[in-house]
Amino acid sequence: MIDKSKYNNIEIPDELDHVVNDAIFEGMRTQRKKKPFFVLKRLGTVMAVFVLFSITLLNVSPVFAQVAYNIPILGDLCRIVTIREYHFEDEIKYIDVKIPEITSTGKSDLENRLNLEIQKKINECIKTHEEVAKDYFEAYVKTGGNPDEFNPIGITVDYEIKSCNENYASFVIYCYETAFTAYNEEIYYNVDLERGRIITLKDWFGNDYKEIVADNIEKTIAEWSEEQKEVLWDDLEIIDLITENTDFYINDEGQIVIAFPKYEIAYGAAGAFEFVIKK
Amino acid sequence: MNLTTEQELIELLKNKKEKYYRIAFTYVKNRDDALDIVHNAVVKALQKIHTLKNREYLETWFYRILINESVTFIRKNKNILFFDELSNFNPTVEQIDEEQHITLYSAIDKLSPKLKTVIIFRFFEELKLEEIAEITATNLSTVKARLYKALKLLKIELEDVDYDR
Repeated sequence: MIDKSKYNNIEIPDELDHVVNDAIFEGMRTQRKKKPFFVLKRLGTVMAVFVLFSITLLNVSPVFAQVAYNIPILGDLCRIVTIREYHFEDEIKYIDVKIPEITSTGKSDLENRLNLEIQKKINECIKTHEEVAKDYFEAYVKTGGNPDEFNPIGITVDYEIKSCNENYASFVIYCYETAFTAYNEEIYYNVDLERGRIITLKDWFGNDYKEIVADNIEKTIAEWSEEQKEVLWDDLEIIDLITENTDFYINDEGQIVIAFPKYEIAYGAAGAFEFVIKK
Repeated sequence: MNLTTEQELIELLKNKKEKYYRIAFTYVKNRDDALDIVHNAVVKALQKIHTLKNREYLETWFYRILINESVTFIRKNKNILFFDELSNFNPTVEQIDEEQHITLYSAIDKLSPKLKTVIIFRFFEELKLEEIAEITATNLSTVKARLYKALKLLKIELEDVDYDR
């Protein structure tokens, strides 16, 4: 008779729940269908219609953009807009790109520099992913796959505004593909709109930023259950991971949130981690 | 309750995640790899859910993604020659003796992914052969042929199993 007991007794890891939820979220986020602007979530319908209308116009009409800047509400709300959106597809890939740009800050030097950099980063990212898709396709055909049945690889560039007001803008650009999550990239930008420069952890917390941030994260981890802690690397030293280049964003409540990518502090299957730094 | 296909998929994934993990684990025999496979399959399913035309086949459709992920993973990461791919496989006496004692579960590790799929779904998940044909996008006779081949390789006497059901 068939002995199924071994199969039925396969141990289910504690992280499975987390992994599935995380994947559901990632899958929903990377769906190809059109998503609403993130900014709209917090606004009433009437306001939303106005903003949607305005953002569209900001993208097409420099005159309107000039005028809009003088309307305090819109000026305060956010100065990050989509300047270009395009879709491209062929037999091996489909690409969806949404490029953000920071506008009307009154600091044109900063804007130019930043927007050029964003454009450059996005181009690099798309190029890398295109090469991966091409390699993958070639490997697929070489190993006997039928080119007509190849499932095109999706490459998506999108962005999310984390917070934005008259003082600062915090946003993240996502560049990912459907085939290999290992190549996914998230680029964080935190811009001081008053001073016209990039915000660093040092600007925010002062010279002792490493200690402050690391202590804060360690306190949060200390509150975790043993099971949660198990996914962390054994030789994890948070303080070594806090540098000028550590990814972070500023949330709606004006708090710094440190974003560790997958594999940075824990097993890959546990996903990425975020820590709110309480001042 | 009137759920959209997407909501139905999410419900399914949440309710049966253990089962999907077991299937993935049986292919790769490694906890972290199995978690990665489940993760990737779930992401893909949600990304592609709009391509599913018939909701009736939701789970079958997800099985297909899960198997694809598992098999792709094995191809990419392992450099193993499988049992049934060796044309002149000739077990020695000791091997046969040993095989009489091993359970089906450990024996299927030696099968290639295609044969393994049939065994996992027929005997562990207890699906009908028609359903397996659906999942693997093959026809019933191919599934039967694979099943017989797998059983022959495993040298398992399954007289008391009605595998034609």
